[in-house]
Amino acid sequence: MNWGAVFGAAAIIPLLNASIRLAVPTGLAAVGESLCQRAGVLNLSLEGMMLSGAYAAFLATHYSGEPWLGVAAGIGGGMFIGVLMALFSVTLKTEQVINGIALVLLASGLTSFLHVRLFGVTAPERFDPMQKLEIPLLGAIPGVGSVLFDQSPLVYLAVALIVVVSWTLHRTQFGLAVRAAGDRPGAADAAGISVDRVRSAAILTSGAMAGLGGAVLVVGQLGLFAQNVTAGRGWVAIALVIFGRWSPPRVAAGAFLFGFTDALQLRIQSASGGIESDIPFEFFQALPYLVTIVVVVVATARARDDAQPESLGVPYIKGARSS
Amino acid sequence: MGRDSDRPVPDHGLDQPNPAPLVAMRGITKRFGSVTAVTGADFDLHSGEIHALLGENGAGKTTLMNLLYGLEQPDDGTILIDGDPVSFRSAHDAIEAGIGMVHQHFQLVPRLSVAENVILGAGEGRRIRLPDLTEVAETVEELGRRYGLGVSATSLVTDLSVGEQQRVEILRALYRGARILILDEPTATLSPVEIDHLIEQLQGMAGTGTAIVMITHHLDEVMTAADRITVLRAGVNVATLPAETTSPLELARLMVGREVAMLSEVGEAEAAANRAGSTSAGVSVLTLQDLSSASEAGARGEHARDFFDVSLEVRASEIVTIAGVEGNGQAELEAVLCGLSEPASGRIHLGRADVTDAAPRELLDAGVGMIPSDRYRHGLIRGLSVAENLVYDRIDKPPYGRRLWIDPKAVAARGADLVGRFSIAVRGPSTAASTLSGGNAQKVVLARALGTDLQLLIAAQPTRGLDVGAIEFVWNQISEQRDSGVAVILITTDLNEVIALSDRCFVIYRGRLVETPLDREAIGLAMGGAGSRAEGVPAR
Repeated sequence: MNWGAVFGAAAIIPLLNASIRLAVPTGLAAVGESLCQRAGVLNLSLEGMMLSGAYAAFLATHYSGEPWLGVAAGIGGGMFIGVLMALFSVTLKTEQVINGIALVLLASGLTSFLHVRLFGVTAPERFDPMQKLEIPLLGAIPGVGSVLFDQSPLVYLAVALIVVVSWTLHRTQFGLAVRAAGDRPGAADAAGISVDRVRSAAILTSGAMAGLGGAVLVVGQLGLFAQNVTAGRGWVAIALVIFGRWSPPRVAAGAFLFGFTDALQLRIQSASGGIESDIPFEFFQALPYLVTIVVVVVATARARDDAQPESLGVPYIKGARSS
Repeated sequence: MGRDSDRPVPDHGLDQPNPAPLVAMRGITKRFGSVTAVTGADFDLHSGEIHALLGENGAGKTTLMNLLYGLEQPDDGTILIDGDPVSFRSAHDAIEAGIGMVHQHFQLVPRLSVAENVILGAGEGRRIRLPDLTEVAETVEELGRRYGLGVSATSLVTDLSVGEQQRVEILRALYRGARILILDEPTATLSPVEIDHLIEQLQGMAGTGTAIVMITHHLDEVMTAADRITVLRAGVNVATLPAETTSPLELARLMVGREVAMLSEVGEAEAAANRAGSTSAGVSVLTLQDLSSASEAGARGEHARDFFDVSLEVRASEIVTIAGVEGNGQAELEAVLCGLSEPASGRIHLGRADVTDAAPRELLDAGVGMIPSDRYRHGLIRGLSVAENLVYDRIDKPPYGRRLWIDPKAVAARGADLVGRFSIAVRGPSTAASTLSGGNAQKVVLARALGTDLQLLIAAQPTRGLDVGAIEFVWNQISEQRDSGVAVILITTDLNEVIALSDRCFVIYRGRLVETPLDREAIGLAMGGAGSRAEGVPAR
């Protein structure tokens, strides 16, 4: 196998560029999820949000031919699942874990069903993924420029969003309310904060970001939709939140690691002969997930801080006796 | 200290025409399902007064104040502030109107800083960015200096002592411009020295015109702190009296609705007589030898909950008390004594047997009765029936059960028997434990522990949160055990309980035991760590 094609000096810049690109869908979902969990909602519907966003983005782009409309639809698709999650978990105070899993199944079934109904067994025509947008001047910086500033506009949008969420969590009234609602919802309530409103807003934000993540996958990378196209990225994102100890920058770093492994496995796959290789390609595809499991286990076992929001997963019922 | 301090006397003396009250609650009724918590209650509050709201548990004190603070909405009646009717839909509205409330269980977020807690919710919906936290911290510390409520505004709440957290709660209310301050059971978790200090600060605040409501069931604090006292009984305002014209005995009578022996006063003499009369303590039952929950080096820092080098002996027919303010290591000691956690070093002997590593099962079988401090977590299983709760420590033993089987008849019979003997007020032994009131829940725990022959009773906070009648019952049960030859180790935060029950007393402070004479003041001082270090509290 030609390792130079994987790690050589000429290969390293495209590899890092691809890592960022591949990290974005998972990263968006993971950072949104970390906000949601900081508000005390264990949102397991994330995979469903991504999938629903991916499909909405695909449909909108397919019928309109306008990728940005697809992006908007993707955000809407994620928020659609978010509205259901908020309705069940916040308004009706039912068990968050069950709701989340049910919504993943709903999104998976619904998108597959619609896809077959609308397009039958013949796959619809692939459209061109959104073009890269090299940022003038910055993109010309040797090395760094080609890694960071020669990306799809969606990547810039995603990175900006991730920064905004981190800032929101620590510098805004809403962020403070989120942190309080996730640790001691009773205390937040007594301070005049509407825990339900804060948690719903966090879920919807998470839905919007995960939906955007799905849209990026479809509109920015693949140009097509296939059943369960998100392939468990939503679940990986939840694992990354734990790996990142509920801190958005660390969660984003985890997403980069996932993206890097993904880019690497693609590179190794093609270097080892692609479809001709002796090693089954499924092995390579599984690599990012294996790495995620190992990293999360190691990081969680070593973590000594109790960064987990105290009331994570516990529905807040006003006036109920807390333990 | 107390009433004769030289702060300005509020100008609503009885001989002057009363100015319009700052707060007037008229004919307030609040129902929860079929239960009426407050019935047609009136309540007045003037600026510059400390108004104590007195009553037994379940009398409706907290509910009445939750209505004023907007946490609940009344079913009937009106609330006037400065003469204008108001209707608060949430605490937010009440805060806008200048009302602050400090709950019994502090409503602070431990992982946020003091400054963040202070501004939490304050600007919600109006501004996006948080105010500059350094500026907030400075303002908070300045307020603290003005009212003697010193606290570091940049520390995390989780690093603060209970007393400091309470100061943060009060400062938060003041920061938001509260002119009406409601304190729910403010002294429940404070040491006697801290209580004195708090009352002084409250009197200082009242002197600057703040109206203060203090919810409590401690008569002695009411007498030292309050200008006026309102007594609630079963949701009805039975009297509002100026403090100088009433007495603890009158208040107790109003609270309970019948004559009561004053436990805190009569009890002392009685307890002394009991001690003299009780058979002198017998053979050694429990011996603790250099028991520590952590090595000195492994202790978890300033606010550690560990205990160190605990040595004591409890003999048959005596009550040995471990007094102390919560959070000084007694919870960990309780867990070790009950076999729920293992000590880091030291030995525990029950009679001659070494039970250092014994599991709760072995201790129960050896005749150790336990009344755990957290009756809902360790004392009761809320989903089970009262009868099942009464036997679950012996459910695997005949006649209640054998191998895989349970005999429901034997369980029911035992339940009915104990419900009768301990006069537990339930519809029947098959009622779910979750429906029990605090007093009856504790009776179930007590009945299970005492319903068999014991050699040792471990009673931790046995009367916490109970009303006067239930306290009397629990105290009698515990002294009966002592009189019948049981060795009793009593862990408590309640000074009255120490005086009423102890034969010998130790105080636990920062994890260390000190033997103290059975003297109110000496115990009170030792509980506050007098001599070693009294944080932020002027020595007296």
